[in-house]
Amino acid sequence: MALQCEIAHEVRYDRKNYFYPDTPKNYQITQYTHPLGAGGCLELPSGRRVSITRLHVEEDSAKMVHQGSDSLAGSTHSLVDFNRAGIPLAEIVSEPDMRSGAEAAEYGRELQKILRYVGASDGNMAEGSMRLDINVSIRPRGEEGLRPKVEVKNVNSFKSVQQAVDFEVVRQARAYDAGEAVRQETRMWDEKELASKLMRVKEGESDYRYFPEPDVPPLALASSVVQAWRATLQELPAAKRARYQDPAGLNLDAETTKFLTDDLAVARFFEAAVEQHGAEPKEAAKWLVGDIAGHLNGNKGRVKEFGKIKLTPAGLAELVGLIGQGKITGKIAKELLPELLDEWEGGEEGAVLDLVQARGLEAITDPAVIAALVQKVLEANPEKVEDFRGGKTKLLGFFVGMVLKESGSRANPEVVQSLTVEALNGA
Amino acid sequence: MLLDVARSLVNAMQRRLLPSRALGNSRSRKRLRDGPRRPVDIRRAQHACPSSPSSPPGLQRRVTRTNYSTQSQQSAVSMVEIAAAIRKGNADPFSVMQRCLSRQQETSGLNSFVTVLRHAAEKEAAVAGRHSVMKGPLHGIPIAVKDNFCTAGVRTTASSRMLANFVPPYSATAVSRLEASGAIVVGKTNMDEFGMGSATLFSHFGKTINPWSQAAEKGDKPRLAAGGSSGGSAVAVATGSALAALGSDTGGSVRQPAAFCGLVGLKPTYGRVSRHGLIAYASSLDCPGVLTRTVADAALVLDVVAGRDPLDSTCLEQPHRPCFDRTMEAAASSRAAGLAVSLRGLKVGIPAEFAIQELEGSAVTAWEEGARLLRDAGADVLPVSVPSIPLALPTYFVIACAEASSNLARYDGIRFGFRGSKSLRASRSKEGIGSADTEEDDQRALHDFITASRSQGFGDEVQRRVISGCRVLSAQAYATYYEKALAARIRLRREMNTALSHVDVLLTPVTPTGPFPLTTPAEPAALMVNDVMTVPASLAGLPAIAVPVDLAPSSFVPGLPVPVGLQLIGRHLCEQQLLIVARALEVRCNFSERIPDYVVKATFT
Repeated sequence: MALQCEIAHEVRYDRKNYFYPDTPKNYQITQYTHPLGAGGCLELPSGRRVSITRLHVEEDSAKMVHQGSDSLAGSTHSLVDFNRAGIPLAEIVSEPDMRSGAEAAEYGRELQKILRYVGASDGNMAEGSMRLDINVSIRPRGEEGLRPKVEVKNVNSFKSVQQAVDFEVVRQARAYDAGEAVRQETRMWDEKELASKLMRVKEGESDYRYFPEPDVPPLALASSVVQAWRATLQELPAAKRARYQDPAGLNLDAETTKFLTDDLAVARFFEAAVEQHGAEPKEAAKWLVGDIAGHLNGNKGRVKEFGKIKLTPAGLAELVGLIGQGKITGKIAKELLPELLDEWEGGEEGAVLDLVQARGLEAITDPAVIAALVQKVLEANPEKVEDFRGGKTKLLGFFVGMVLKESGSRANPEVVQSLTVEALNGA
Repeated sequence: MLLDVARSLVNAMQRRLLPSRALGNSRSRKRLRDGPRRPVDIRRAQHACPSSPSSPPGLQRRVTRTNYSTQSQQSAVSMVEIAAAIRKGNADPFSVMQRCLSRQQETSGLNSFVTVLRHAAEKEAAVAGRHSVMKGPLHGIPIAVKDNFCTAGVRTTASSRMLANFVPPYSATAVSRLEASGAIVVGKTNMDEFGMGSATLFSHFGKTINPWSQAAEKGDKPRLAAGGSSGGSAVAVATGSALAALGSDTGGSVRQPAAFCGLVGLKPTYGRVSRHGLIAYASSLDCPGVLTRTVADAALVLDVVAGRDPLDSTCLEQPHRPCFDRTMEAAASSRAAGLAVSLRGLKVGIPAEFAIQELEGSAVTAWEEGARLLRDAGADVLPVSVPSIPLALPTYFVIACAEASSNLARYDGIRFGFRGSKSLRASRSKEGIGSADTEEDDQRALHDFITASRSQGFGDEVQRRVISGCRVLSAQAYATYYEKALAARIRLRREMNTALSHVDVLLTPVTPTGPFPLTTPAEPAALMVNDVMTVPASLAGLPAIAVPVDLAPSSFVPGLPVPVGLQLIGRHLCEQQLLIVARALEVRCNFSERIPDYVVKATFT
């Protein structure tokens, strides 16, 4: 459903028969004639639409580890890990709608995002919970139909997807330029050498002797059930992006939108802060994209994962609100942030303000208080005051900085600026 | 090859061209010849033939004539009665077990067991005897289990060289439920390899012999087949080596050996009993079944093993309606009580299409008699029609072989089971280890290895069916064979259900002939004709039961009396009703008191 597929009314399975050591029964339960979903599509952030041919459910095979070589050929022996054999997986087949390695990688990332949004998979490629094979076929611009395709296996990251596709495009183009034909074959991506290597050449279609799986009875999916599922479907990345960028709505820029929607947890946090706790959207987004992300990526903070931060959406909303109302300065907020993220225990309404007050970190806006600070700074630097009055107006920044420092970053910077200028020029 | 045979079978059946093999009484043969295509109209037939009420019934006449000595009262005691005696403290599980084990030893020459669990069974029986608390309704009852049901820690071979040393780590659901109810497994019984056969002839552990062939003097007289593929289970119960046995029925493998050995053989509705732990032959047809002396015994065992099982997706969710109720129990111990069971209001259908050319005279007579007895019990007997019956046998073989070709693919010698003499390493290192430099070479080596294991590990019949199955599923043959078989199966199922919407049960013969001599036929497919009466219920997934009704002179060994059975086919999940009708038939035939002494008494080592 998340891939806009037509959902089958009846879930049926078939058996695919072939002898290979990675399939302990020497047949695979799969969906050949009746895939669970078909005819879907997926819209990439770049705007390109990729059609989804089908999504079918099948058994995973065992993991083969070839010893002494990267592939079965040339290896001395092979180890077979049956732990994942027989576990159900969903295979998603797309139409040849991508035009470059970058687009293929973008498709992979978007698909991963959707699968994570709907909770179908954690999409972890390193652990093999999301794997992909790519098929590359090139043709001269304007040519109709598709030339033989080359399948590339062992592509274990989106970066590799881009590299492998681009490599294949060049390899095939060179072959055509040299007057050679490109065979339908299966190649393997070598991450170290950044090159694809021949695995096997397809010699015609194998006869897998498919027939209806007799051990798993068909399962009827009532349309009421499918409708109920559809009703609970998460807002998907593309729709979320459109909503975030809507000029009549949140009106966020593309980069901020991408950051917020890449991870559903971040998007949910953002939406809670804005919708439930009244945070100003752009300000809340700025904090999430900037300082909070920086804290998680940097090496000073203790918390490294977004899901583990102590700050709540309500806390972020309050923080942004306090700055907006001039109750704390941005500088103080930045200073408080690591604590709010790493160890804060407050969570109730007004908890951020309580913390600010307990520490005596409220913003200073009283001109009399600030004027006294300015006076103090001017008196401590008589020579620089002379210099300024002698024409070195660049020194204004120095005085403002000194006053702010003197206030412990609590003074309102605008008031400081105007009072400092006044004092320097007036006396 | 098999397909050609299957095809010619259909043609022959449609054209009635098969050479007559049976030597039944001339009256029946003549009638069948006179009207080859005419369905048996049971009412018309009764008016026309000597077995009509006006003349002496053929059944009684023949029994009086042959006058076989009957077994002693003690041996005729049913499982249900022994279970009751154990419950009341009137019988000791240990001595019950001892009697079974000594019967097993005395008849070991019949080769009914692949593995006998003498010590374990004795020990368990002794423990059962000491316990005052009954584990369940089968407390202390010795049972035999067909060797295609997994038994934890006990080797399970499916009578194949491929699994000759296979010891499963778990037990089949049916076995676990029997044990939980107090039953004790005596041993694992011989069968046709993976269930593929109708005579327990194709076993890695040798043929099983029918105890009814013992009257024939040793030497030149041919031994008779026990039927198959659950032949070992049938012989175990027939000889008293076990009081009940678990069998499996894919196309008649419980009902046919039951009929050949004078037993009750029940194949429940497909999915009524879990297949978990039953070594698969043809998944959409395989059905655990029960072989017992009496209908009540079968009902009690069914109640123990039936019901939903999350370990088998095809096992039905509906709760099992108990079949062994008090009526059945009372009827089990009293003939009079059984006779009192009235079938008033019940409709019995006689499907015309089962009256095939190959049907022996004695089978026709028994069929007519059975219909009469059910009518006497109050039932309405009506003719019904299932037009697709001639398609059943080829349809069955196409589907069974197709599924078998896939189910048996797992036996490749890599992870478990028999490993061929050609090792993978040897295959790979023709030019030295590591010399294979393309994946194709490795693939070839791997396939050579698998081929060696399978060619040596599987018997001829299994190989024939696997190859046929691969063929019917191949891209070239799929539409011609498999797809047509699926369509024929759907049609047949619909017709059977339609017939059963007009009547409550169908009454048919179990087999066209009685037990045949145990010789490997020149044409393996000739044996398949034996399944012609039983495959329809298998394809339709309906419950069916074989009930012994009569004794008749063997048409293969002159002068030898052999049992004749009848089949009742019931509605989907209506085992209860099916068993009540079977019980009514059983009590009116009084078969158990007419079993010759030697069948249950004689030694055969």
